[in-house]
Amino acid sequence: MLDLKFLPQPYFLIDLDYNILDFSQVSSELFYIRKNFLDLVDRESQGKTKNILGNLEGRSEGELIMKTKESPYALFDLSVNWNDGRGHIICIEKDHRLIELESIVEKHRTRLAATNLELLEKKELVEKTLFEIKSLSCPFIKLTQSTALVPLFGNLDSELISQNEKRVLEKSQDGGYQEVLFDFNGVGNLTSEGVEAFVALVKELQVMGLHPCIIGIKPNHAFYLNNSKTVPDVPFLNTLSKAFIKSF
Amino acid sequence: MEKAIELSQLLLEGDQDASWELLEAEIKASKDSLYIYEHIITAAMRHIGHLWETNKITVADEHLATSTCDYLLARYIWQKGKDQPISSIGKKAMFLCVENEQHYLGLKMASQLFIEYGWETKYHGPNLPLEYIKKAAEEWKPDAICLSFSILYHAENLRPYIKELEELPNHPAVIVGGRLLSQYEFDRYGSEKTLFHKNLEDVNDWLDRHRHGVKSNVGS
Repeated sequence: MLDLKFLPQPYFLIDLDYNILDFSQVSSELFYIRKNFLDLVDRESQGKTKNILGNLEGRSEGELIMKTKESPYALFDLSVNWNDGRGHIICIEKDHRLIELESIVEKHRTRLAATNLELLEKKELVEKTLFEIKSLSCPFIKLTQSTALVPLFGNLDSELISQNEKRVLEKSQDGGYQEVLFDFNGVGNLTSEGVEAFVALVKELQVMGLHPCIIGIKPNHAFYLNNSKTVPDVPFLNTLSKAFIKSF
Repeated sequence: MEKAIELSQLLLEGDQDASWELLEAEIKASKDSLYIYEHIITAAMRHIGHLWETNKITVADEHLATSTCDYLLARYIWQKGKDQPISSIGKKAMFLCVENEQHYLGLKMASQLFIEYGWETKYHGPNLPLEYIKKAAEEWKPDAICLSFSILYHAENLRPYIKELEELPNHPAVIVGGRLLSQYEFDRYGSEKTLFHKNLEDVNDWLDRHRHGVKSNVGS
């Protein structure tokens, strides 16, 4: 038994009541040696310890939380071998590298969460900017006492109209205008929903007694406008100057 | 409980997609967040703890299950916000585990309940030293700070956290939570103002009372 003192791992010899009968030198370096082996184990691991040690028929093993001189909460791999009413236990501390790896993973996790948040912030910023761009893409310009120009820029989609229709309607009403010229020269792509929303806006203006006029329609625009449920009954002119000649 | 055990298996396999499908089915069955957190997710993680205690799995398996569950929670709250936009109630709360405490899933679920009640939240996760959270709270001025711990030995850390955080200039409400609170009394670590919540139901009740404008005697 004397030789076991010099085992290079923590070793314990216990009886059937888990009393510690002997231990290796490394054990006493690592643990505050108590009378009973269960005293070296974390409270919440005691049930598990009894289960592992309870198999008196031979060898068993498992993970346990043990109280060391360094930490009251250290993870160990425990192996036990029973022979003739004596339990021979080896406790091997889980590799420190595991803890290091855990902390690295944790750092990555935190960073990922932060990056997510940053991305979210950027996304919100982009959405806000997009909203502003859309609002600026439909200016209402007073040309004469009775004529206003509304040049549209970018893609004609439902957002472009829904974001700007209230302003266009209000301004058209306030200024005593007779004609509102929608300029499509700066319009890129159209969507069906955008065209429907635009046609609805034009009709509202007509109901208000105004004369909307559409200028600068390109072939790809015409395709969408013709496919819309109702083509607005308004003059289509290819340039602003023609619209002017028509007006005066 | 059946669903919880099924989820625990999927979490141990690290199967994010199948875990999410299970959760999605619960959402579709109109289960609320409190039910999903307590009776599905917490129950699944408790079962995983039981599997470790009965020597069926190792700590490494638990880590995989935890990180899979972390993903699941993040996706759940994201989906919630998408399905039903939450309007802010103008209150702020911070969440953290005390130093060395690595068990953060309960804390995360609590923070997500706060989000659903319209609170603005900052989730600081596991193992946050006191000086860091003090500085962060001084700057951000939260109405509530939620502390969590799961290891008995970490309860010793509570006293300085509670004392110093309650003494901050804006006197935030300090709420302590964790699985051990349903087993032991920890009142002695706090002041008469400190709130000790035994489970997510307590958290939910508190949030409910706050939403309906009943002033609590904390933080005043």
